[in-house]
Amino acid sequence: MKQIVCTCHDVTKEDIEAAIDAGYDDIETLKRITGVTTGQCQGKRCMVLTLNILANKKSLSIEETTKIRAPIDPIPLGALVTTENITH
Amino acid sequence: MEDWRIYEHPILEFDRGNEVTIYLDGKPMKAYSNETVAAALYANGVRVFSKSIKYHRPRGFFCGIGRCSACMMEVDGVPNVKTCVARVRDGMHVKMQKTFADRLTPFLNMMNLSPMVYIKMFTKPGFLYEPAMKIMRQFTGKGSFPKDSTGYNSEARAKTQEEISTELLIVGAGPAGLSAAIEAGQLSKDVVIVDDKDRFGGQLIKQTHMFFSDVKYAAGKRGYKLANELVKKLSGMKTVRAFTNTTAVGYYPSENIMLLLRPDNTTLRIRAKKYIVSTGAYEKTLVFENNDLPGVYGAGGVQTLLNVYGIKPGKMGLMIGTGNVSLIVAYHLLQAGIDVKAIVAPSFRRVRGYLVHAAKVRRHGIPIITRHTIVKALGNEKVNGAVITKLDDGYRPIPETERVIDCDFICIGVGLNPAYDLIQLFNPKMVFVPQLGGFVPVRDKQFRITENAYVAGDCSGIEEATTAVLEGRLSGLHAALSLGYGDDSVLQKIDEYEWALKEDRNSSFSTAIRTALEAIPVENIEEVIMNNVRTGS
Repeated sequence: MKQIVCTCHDVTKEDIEAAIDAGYDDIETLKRITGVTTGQCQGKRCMVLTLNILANKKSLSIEETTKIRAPIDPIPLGALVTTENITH
Repeated sequence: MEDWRIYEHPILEFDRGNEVTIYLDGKPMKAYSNETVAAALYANGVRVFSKSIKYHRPRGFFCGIGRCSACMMEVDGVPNVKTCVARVRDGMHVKMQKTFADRLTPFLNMMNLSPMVYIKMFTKPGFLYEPAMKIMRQFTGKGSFPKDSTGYNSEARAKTQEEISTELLIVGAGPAGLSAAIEAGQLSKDVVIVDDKDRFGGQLIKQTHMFFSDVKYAAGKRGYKLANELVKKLSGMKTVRAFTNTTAVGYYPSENIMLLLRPDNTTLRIRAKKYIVSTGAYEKTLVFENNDLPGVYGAGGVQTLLNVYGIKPGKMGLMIGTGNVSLIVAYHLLQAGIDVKAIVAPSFRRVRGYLVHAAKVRRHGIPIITRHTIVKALGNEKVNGAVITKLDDGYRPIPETERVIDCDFICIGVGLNPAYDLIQLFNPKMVFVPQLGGFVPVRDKQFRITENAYVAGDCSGIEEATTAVLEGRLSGLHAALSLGYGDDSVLQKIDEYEWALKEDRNSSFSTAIRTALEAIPVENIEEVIMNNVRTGS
């Protein structure tokens, strides 16, 4: 019986709570230790859920979010490679 | 095999296209050319599309608009294709991405490792870490590398350097984006509009209900008809270049360039003087036990299945949430002849959506259970029930009030999150406003968030399609004005739209939204930009 927060990386609510208890109590370090918000959907499903858990646990209001970086959608590596760089 | 398609509907006629055959793991299945792969599989009764990366739990259809990752499959040798947005082709081979560890699912679920274990495992002594990781990676993962480089041929690669310049780039062709393109296209000489779907209209294409508010703008029309009208108007304009199936994957402020991905896996770079971001929104999810089980859907995903592809999501549904989306989708389900067991909501007094919609579903005998929430979805490979529980005044579950509701799918309609990803790449100031759905950018009265970017529609705060249309028109006009186009008649138009927008928001049900919106706009966006740069956020 699992409560999945991040479906891309299978991160459960317990994982996040345990990580917060272990001291990873801001979104930047939390995402590095659990992998939440870093899957194929780039946090579209789990970002606000994670922030909610964090805010509830620390009795804070949601203010900060993590920095979003491109690419925001999955992109094949082949698409980023230019002609000159490819050698067969 | 059971066919889940709807062939008779009181309002809609489905244009499915020609019958084709696709193969799932070698098994032939009937599909129609206008369906996406996920829709075709769903219509054939397939519920499990993939296995999750770590616990190998079954996953299926969820958002239906290419925003989550639950439906990724191998299509014609290409791994991790989002099947909910990929069209079918005759003779297409679809494969479920499996690893040998998938067979261990029940075991992995049972094991229930203590949460931090897998993070700390084998980190001491250090020399064990590398070999241990090598073995553990065998147990995880999604898909395998394609055997040949199909899709990356030299012809395609030559195009990867393509770069185009334009005056105004609009990302997202929903009601807001289309309206902005129409207004700006009448003034400016060169506008580009892109969308990641294969047809324009955004989420309007699945709205079969009529909008109300001012008849002059969008109201009194069914959503999909409005979408057709907007697209038709746009296609007649020579000043607008439109790109479908083109996904914006990043904006790089230092070079002022937008990177986009095209369907043939080549990139396109667009350099524009001004940008309008109208990326819309995606659905919020809830945390409860088994919330990832196939059969737990976003209400919008269900709407897509029902109204765009004409496919039944199931036979008995349970709706969570009483916002407008949930109420409307519940009604749409009834129209399609699907039983809706109940609408469950944690709110105490009244429903959150418009009373008109609530009254409509009540008249059809759907119970609205307030003060309750879902705690668990039942089932192994797919949903076959749900457990709901009563809440106390502090929104905490009351023990021993749990009860089981029989259903074969659960719709989560607890609201939308603004799609702020792309907006944030422009480095605006972001604020969290619950009434508007989540993180929204600070903007001025001209919808400007930075010196070269504007926002419109749901991505700047969740509202209605009618307000999105007006916001789109306004941002389009303002962007054109800032490019040096337009005269006094444009100012008149702006006044008119601003007045209509105000009227629209004055309806009593959006008081919260109105108050929240009024708190956001700032007079001087330059000041905000400067402050933002200074604090380095």
